[in-house]
Amino acid sequence: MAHVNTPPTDDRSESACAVDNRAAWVAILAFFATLFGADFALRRSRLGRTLAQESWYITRPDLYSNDPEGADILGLGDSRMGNAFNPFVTEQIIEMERGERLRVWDGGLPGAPPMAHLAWIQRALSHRHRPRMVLLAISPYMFSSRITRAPSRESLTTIFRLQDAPALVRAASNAEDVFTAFHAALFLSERVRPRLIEVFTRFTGLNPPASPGNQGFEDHPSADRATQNARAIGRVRGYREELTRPAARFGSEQQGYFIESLRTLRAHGIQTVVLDSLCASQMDAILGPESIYPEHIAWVRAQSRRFGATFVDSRHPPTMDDGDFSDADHVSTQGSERYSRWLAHEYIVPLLGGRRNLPPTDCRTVYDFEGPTLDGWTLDGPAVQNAMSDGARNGQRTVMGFEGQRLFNTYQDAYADSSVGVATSPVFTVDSREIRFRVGGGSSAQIAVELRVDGRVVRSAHGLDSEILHAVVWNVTQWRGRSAVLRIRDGATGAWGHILVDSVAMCP
Amino acid sequence: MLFTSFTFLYFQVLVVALRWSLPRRVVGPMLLVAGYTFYLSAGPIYALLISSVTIATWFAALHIERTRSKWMLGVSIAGLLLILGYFKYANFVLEQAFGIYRLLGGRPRSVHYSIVLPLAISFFTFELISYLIDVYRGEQAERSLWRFSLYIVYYPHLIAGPIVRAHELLPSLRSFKSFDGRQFSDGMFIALAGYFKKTVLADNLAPWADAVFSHPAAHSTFGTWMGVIAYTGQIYCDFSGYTDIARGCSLMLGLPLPDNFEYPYLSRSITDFWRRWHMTLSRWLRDYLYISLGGNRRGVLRQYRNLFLTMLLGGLWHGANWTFVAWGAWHGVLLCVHKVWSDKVVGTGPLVRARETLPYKVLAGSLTLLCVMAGWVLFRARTFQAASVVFGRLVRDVPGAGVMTGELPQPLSTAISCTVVLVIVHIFGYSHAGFDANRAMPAPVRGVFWAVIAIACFLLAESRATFIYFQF
Repeated sequence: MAHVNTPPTDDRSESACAVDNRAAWVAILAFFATLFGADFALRRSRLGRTLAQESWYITRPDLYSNDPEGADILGLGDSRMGNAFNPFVTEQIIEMERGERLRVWDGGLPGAPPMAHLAWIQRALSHRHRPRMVLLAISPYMFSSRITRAPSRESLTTIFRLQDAPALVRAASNAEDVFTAFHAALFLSERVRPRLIEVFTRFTGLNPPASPGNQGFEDHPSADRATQNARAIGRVRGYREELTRPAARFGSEQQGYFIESLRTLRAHGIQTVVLDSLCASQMDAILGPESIYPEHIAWVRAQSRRFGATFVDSRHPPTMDDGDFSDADHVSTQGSERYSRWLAHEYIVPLLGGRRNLPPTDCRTVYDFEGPTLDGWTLDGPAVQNAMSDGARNGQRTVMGFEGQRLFNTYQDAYADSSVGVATSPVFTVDSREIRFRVGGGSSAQIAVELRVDGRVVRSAHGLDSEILHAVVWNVTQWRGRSAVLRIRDGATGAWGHILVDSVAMCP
Repeated sequence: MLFTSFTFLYFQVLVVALRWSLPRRVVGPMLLVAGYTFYLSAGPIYALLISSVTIATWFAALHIERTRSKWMLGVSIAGLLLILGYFKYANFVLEQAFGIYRLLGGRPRSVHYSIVLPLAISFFTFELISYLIDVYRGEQAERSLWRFSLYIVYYPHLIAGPIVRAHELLPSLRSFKSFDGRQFSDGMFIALAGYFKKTVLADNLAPWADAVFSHPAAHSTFGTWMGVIAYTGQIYCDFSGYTDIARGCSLMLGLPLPDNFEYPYLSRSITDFWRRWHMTLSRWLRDYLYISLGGNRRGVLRQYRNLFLTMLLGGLWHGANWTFVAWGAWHGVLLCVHKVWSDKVVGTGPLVRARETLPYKVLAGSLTLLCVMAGWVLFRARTFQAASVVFGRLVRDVPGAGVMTGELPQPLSTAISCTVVLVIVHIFGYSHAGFDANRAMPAPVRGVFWAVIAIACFLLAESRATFIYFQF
């Protein structure tokens, strides 16, 4: 195989040539059949499925595409956006300020460059529930071809689908991008190639499946000041080489993808917000005039203006400080709440039409869980004893999305997730059209808030394996006038074996 | 459009499909369009250059054929060399001129022009020159402009050879043959073997070679030796892999291209090496430079001079750097020494018989390989200083990472594995076993065999941007 000679001229008969011709066609068919067959086998195998499930780039966009509710507001960016943009807090602020229930998704992926944004946008446009607004978060290195090389390739081979080819052709600066995406859309082996090579040649084991997140959002633990500072300094050192002239180079094929994203969003009448990256103060040292950052951000601003997008300088939101970060540019869950509140209040709500003077709601709060005890409730089991808490308990991540000062929380200091219990409300007569409340915590079948009518469970809701409470609305018209009870059930003892409930209201 | 890119794979599938489905009369124009598409994919600016020099050379050749004008031949070749010289050597010449001026006490302002080297210029310039000289020497000029253009921009050999002579390709372009299954199968195997050499061997050898030549002082003697061996393997697998892909793709289109490599590292002398390494360039240098300089017609000393000058210019052809010139000079000296050795020492007297013995062959082969590797150090190092550091490390014992310590960095262990594989497949290929097996296999098994090679390339490939010889 090291070197192959050209065959000598032959003196084959016509029939021998015909046999050779047939053999060549058979061999070609066998060649393609083997290649397609191998990929098909990989697709059906546990290995192929596991490798696909490992990839955030494959699972998250697929989750979004398969989510029947889609998103009214879609946030896109890299891991900074993934950590900082909290869909539930954003939903809550919009509901509070505009009385509108919009669905928000966080499409931030680690290292995702504008190429990934465009691929997400194509998915959003083909979703039956198209977004009204898209947020594009830009990071300092997104237009450096060297840094974005690996995530670019991953974006091309995972998020793009065959039907996205026209957008890719419009945006791509070279044909290779288009053909790579096309090839990957056909072959799973190409989509999971880096991991496949690791598994086969370096014998690395399989990784656990990628976290599905909650509407794309990922909780991020907070860090104390010293840890945050040490991590930030480490990251800044890494960035210095990439961002400081003359080694750094601004400008790459990613610019084409960014422009195409803006153009596409404008063409479809989708409001667009371009966000400057969120950074702790330690990053300022390397974002000065010697870095590519000013040139980078000036170009981003100009393009935003050109395509009618709103540019938001969210580098240092006034409501945040270094304590909200876990390193130089990733925020903790608490930081994400502050960031999302600020972003929603200052920009998203005004762009949606501003605050509305909402008429006083006719909803009547029946259980706000603000008191020290639950009067009239039947409490059975340690999990529901002393369940009223003012937020997170020891060992619990930051709890968000509740109203007032307290909520119902079955995560106990002494037992963590291992305790179980059932809390049952006094009997009441259903006299409204809707019951509204907020719920968080685990998603297992043993955990639920249930509406029981005549001893039968007629409505049920649970958390999304998250400490962020989300709003639930039950239409209960058909049980009007009937006697019912609310039951909060925590029967799970493993991870996410607790439930959070707040603000139960009856709405006519 | 790199041979290793998806763009090229789909492009090749499309061109092969069109080649065998279109009527023969439109195959030529289709291949011409394919050639220009291939060239334009690298950047449209220089397509004008290649088409202009092609048309000018075509007219010049017709004129030379009619008038036998030496003047026209000289002007045409000078024009081509000027273009090549401008793009490839302008900055180099300026730097040398300023250097001399500085030595004489002048204080010139440094000037550096930003000139982008047009892709494949060294290769198509040599083909155009050889065509003009062949016509002057009596071969028939091509009457069809589009066919002549196709000869130049025919995409499998366009970027990095083989350097094809007009009479080797033009006859096939005049009458396209019908589908030949055996030729197609051979082409498929040759191309896949080329992909294996390039993506698996060359690209996996490269990281360690790069590490050693980037920081030569940072490596042990063992590491440096492995770096030189890795580069020796890399340049062979990279370039011969490229050639095999080119030849294989061309065979799939029913158009054979000449061989470029014949197991050069199994050569028993440096003269033998140059008969096996980049054979189409060696042939070009011999026919158009060495013979034009006088060859071996005017005495032994003139012959040595011609040999040396040919190799010196051959070195310069590879790039505008004194290290390439030194590499050419090194091979020129080696060829002269070998000429003396084979003519005066072992060509006559008692050593004649010794040449046929196994120990002599092994010794001669090993010495040749060592000389070639020493040449590669000059070829790969960016400066003489870097080359001297590498040579120093090769001969002075510097401890460090080695096989015995069990602390091999990953690129080094990969390079060792690839070297072992290269030696095995070299021997395997030398016995033609792979090629013969490809032909002997039942058709379905052959198809599966191809797929296995393709999957091996897919799983074992190290991604690298380009081929070494693209820069020349």
